[in-house]
Amino acid sequence: MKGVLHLLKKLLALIIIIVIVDQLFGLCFTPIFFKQVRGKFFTTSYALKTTKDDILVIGASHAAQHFDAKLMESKMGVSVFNLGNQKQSMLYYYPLIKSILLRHKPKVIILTLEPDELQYSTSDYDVLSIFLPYCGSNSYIDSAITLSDKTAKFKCLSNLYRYNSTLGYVFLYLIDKSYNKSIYSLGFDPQYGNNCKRSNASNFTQAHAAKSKPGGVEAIHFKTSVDANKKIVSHFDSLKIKYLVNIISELKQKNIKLLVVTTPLYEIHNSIYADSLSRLLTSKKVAFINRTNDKTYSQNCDLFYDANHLNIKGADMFTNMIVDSLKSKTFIK
Amino acid sequence: MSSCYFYMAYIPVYILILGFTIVIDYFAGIYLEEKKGKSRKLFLILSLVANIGILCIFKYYNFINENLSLLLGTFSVNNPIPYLKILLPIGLSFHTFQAMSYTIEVYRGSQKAERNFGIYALYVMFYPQLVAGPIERPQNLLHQFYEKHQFNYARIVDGLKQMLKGFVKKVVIADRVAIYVDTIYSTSDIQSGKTLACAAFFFAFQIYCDFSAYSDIAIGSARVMGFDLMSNFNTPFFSRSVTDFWRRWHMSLTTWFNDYLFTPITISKRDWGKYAVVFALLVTFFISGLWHGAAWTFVLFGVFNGMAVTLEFLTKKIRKKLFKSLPQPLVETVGITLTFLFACFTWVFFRAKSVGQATDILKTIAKFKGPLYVGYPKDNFYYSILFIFLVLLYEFKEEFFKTTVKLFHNNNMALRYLCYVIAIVLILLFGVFNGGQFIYFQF
Repeated sequence: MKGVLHLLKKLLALIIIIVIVDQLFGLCFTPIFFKQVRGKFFTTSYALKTTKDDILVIGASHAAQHFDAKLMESKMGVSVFNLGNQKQSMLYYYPLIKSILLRHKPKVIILTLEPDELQYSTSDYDVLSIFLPYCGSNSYIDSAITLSDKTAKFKCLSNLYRYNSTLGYVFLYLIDKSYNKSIYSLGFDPQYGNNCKRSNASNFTQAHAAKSKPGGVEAIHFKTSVDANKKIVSHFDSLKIKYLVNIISELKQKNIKLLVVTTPLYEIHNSIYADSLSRLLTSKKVAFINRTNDKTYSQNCDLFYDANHLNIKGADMFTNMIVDSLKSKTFIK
Repeated sequence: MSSCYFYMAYIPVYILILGFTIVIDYFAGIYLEEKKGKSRKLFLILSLVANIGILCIFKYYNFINENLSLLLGTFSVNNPIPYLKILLPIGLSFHTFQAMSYTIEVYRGSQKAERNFGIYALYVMFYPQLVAGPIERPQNLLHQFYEKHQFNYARIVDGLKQMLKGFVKKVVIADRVAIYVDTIYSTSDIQSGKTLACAAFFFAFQIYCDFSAYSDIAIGSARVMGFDLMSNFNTPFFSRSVTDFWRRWHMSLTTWFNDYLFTPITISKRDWGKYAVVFALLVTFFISGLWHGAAWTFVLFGVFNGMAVTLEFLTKKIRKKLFKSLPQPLVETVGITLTFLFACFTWVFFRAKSVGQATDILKTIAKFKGPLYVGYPKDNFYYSILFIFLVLLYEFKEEFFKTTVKLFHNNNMALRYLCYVIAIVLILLFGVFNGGQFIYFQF
């Protein structure tokens, strides 16, 4: 009994020390974290706490790297911010848009979706940990965090856990004076060079297939197609579909214009997910610009950084096209 | 019961497979002890066939069938034997070897047969080391199940410290480094030589930290409960030769192969002189490679190691003469470096999905051209470098200053607590919590 008490005392002492260290870390690091002016946490913080812009571009890397917000601002005379964040999906956009709408009503939201956006992928759930530093901000953020880890809400009580894996990122972006994905580029993340030919071996489909890790099948709600020869089963993510439908109806209710865009790829890409996305958006009467297989861009290596992303030249061309579309559709008068 | 629950958490029905071999080996043990003459050998063979048979069905059936298809295909003949759609029972290779060591030891007369069925079942299923070792011996573990385990403060604290060390290795280092390694290996066809070399270097630390972490957690948790398990690693990155490496890496498997395969082969072929050792080494490492996985990549991993150890055995005297005049630290440094590079080379086969991918990777590495990919965002790469440096520093301390520099066992309480706090902070702040299972779970 004496030994048990001794052990418990020591463990308690260790827990108290850890709690003190944890609180001190939170006290010192939180202001530094929210002082960032570039990187993925900056755009998320900006969306959740600061934005008052008229046009918001939301999406993953295809948003961040293809929409030159400054060019859009100069051509349209309204404030624009690019909130695109790499590797994210509808699971991220939903709580982000909901959180923005709690305190701000933009005029237009440009939602950039992947052609295979509706596909289930465990990695889309894993990357929701980006919201950990914002734990407790509102119920949408907390729900998103719970999607990546059911116990994360409790773990968030620890500042050390809340800022897990962010220290190096914040440090690098503090010393990095890059223009990309910063407050100065209005979130735009331009890419330079042409690696499309080198990287087209790992085409879009392969890259996205690699994203899906085994396991996590509990979140798959319905199977759609089975290729008897190749034994490939398509998995739609019903949660993503639910979120997309919810966002469409809420923006309609609030009279906020929504434009959904899919951006060009170097190689022709067709899939059951792309078809379904197109059908869903058409049925909901959403303005949809589908440029996935646009021949103006595809196979034109000059415009691509890699097989999936436009370079600065392609991005400028694409942004101009979007601006013309917005004007012709009288989104912005 | 807790061991049963632990095993059934994966695929519950697989407990029947384990139960089947436990029953066979339990009765085989008793008969081996009671019977005399030729029938003893028969019971040993029965037990070994049951264990190896199950291992072959679950682990090697499809591999053999696939190669048969390829072979028949060259003669334009279709293979009529169907493939099995089964998942490998978790830790099958580990507990099969542990069970086999029991019957062999009883046969040799160095271990008494266990009469208590529950105790024998616990020996095979003891949950801390059930899925990834260390592969225990009956002489070390069985008697401990009869001992009375009372609360022992020192043991518990010691076990917890070892577990903490394991958690740091797994979530802070292995799973962090794995992010880069997985990215590079999954796109190896478009990566540069420098990048692939870096991934091969990183993988050495990933696999070491991943596997030794499991051993630390297993040994630590067993210690908390009052049981002592054998060590599995001893600073393998400071091995002076490939032979030395296998004395320090996965020690429980190496000693198993040494006791039950290498030594018996060497003795049975002793008329061949030194070629008996060569033959035994090559066979042992071939089977060791195959033990790791049913793929040619693992076979080659074993074969290359076998060839290196054989070469070291054959050149032992010459090397001794040659290096006599050279300063010992220089010889040791060169030995450590070459051994590490060789380990990295063989681990390319271990990690690659196919022999083709491994050879392509090695060809690209040999050219050593192109830029080094650090990933996006870059922080993960830098974390990996930092943590690898810390691992090396820690291993250096363990190798050369184990008794003089103490961290978790420092006599100064403040320093000791500082180490605990740093370890816990590292886990919370830098741990990767969705890193997946331990690499050796697949074996």
